[in-house]
Amino acid sequence: MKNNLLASINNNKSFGRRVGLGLSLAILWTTPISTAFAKVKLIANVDEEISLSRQEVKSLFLGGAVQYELSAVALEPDHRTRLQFNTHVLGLTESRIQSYWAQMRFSGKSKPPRELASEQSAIAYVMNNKGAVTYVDEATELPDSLKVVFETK
Amino acid sequence: MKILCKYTPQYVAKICSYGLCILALALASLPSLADDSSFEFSGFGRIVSGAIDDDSLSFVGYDNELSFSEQSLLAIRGDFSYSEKLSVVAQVLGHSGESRKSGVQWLYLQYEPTTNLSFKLGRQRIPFFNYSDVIDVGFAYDWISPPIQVYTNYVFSDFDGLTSRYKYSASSITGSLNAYYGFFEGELVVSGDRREADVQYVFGLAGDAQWRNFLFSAAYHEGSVSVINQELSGFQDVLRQLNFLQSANSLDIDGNASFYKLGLSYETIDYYIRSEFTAIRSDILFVPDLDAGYLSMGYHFPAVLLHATLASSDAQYGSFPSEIPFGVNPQLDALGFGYQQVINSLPVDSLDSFTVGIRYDYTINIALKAELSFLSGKQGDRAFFDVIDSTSQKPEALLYQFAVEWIF
Repeated sequence: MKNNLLASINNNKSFGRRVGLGLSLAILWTTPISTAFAKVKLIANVDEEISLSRQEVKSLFLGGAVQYELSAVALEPDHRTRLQFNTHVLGLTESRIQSYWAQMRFSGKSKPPRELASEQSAIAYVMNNKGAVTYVDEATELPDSLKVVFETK
Repeated sequence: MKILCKYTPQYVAKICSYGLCILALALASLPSLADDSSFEFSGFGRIVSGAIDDDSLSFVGYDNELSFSEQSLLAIRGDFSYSEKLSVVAQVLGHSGESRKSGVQWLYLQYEPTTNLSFKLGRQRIPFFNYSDVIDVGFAYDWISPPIQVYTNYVFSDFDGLTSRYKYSASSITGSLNAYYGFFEGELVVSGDRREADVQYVFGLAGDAQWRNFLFSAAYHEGSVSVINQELSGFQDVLRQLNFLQSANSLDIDGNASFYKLGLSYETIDYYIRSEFTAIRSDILFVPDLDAGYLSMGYHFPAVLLHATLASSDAQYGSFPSEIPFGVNPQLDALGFGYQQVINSLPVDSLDSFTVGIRYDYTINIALKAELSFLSGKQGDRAFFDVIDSTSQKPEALLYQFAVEWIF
């Protein structure tokens, strides 16, 4: 009986898929944000190869100075890659980032980067604007004209 | 000579403010001249309610009945960019509390010659301490009320002048250097009372540096202030007539004040530790030397932030002259007693506090907060409480606050 039941579960692909999906969701739900996602890389429309330190990337995306003529392009707050970037590069939660920008904006110090809805539109924007920098998922395929300037370890 | 007197720094500042308004209007009326001109409209608001647990005390307007009218506010900001380098910003704020002024807080012309250098000319807020220039933007910090020991209303907040900001980067260290110079004419709180003040000059230098998860900041500010003290001018005249000049002059609110700040923070995605230490020094006997500081810790849970803050201040008045002799005749005794009364009535704002609070970001622009502060001062001190019978009651209370903060 037991064997029959196991066999029927094995044979029933949709049931297996459901269990798999459920397990994956359960893992996602309980795993800390910092380990649940893949790596990100920073891409730029620049002529020469440059390599930024994590501090420089933080500074660039938080309205601070960088040694190169670069302008940051971010993804919208609910984007998955933005969450990875917040966690692994900026080291700040989304709510902390929002309160930081409230401080910068209303004291007239700096403004948040331009925000775009998808990686594709961010890539397109970077391709059309010299010095523009954005972040994408590590697996995203890139046009040859863009250079990787930073990658999470 | 008259012509020279007319061109005081305040007069020049006033002319500059008017000039700026005209320039702002002129730029706003000619948007079509630049292709990259734009107008942005934004703002922030907060509804704060609070109460203290003691019915005989009052603290920043709160008594033991829940009040919504002490710290609630709404501000609207217009940001007109004429080009990438030139913009005009105006911010108007309406405040519900009686002790706070409503009106134009910011009105300045901003010029950014390079991405790392910017200048602002016009009405601005003085960035004395970490949150001084955004003290009304509750969304920008996690407390409902930042520690009053540091963020006291001892200091004036607005000025008309020029600010420069330079952002720097040296691979592993990034930060900014700021300098400003200006003037101020308006109301100022001195020894607990709001008075008309004239700040002949105020300048400041401030810098910050970020290295890994550490943020270090330091600042020095200096101002020269004179305040009209009408209630005491008759008494001062009597002292002068009897040749007690030191005593008479000690009641003048006229002199220089210096402000020092050191800040150190450590921040990770899970938690932060922030601290700030400040000192106010002045040669005005009516303004006490005030040392203050806080240590704050916060922990981010997935949905909420919990924070706890210890804060303290120590206020000390300088020594007043004692040149009026006692026991010579009843008139002089009465005069000496009157002088002592004035000195003894100066409020001593030494306060220890412990605050715990919670912040929940409901959406990316709305935050809900709750906060509980235990406030404890010494018997006989005012300790930032509003009205207190210091002989019979210790300034000690629990302050409850709830807030909704938003930006748009």
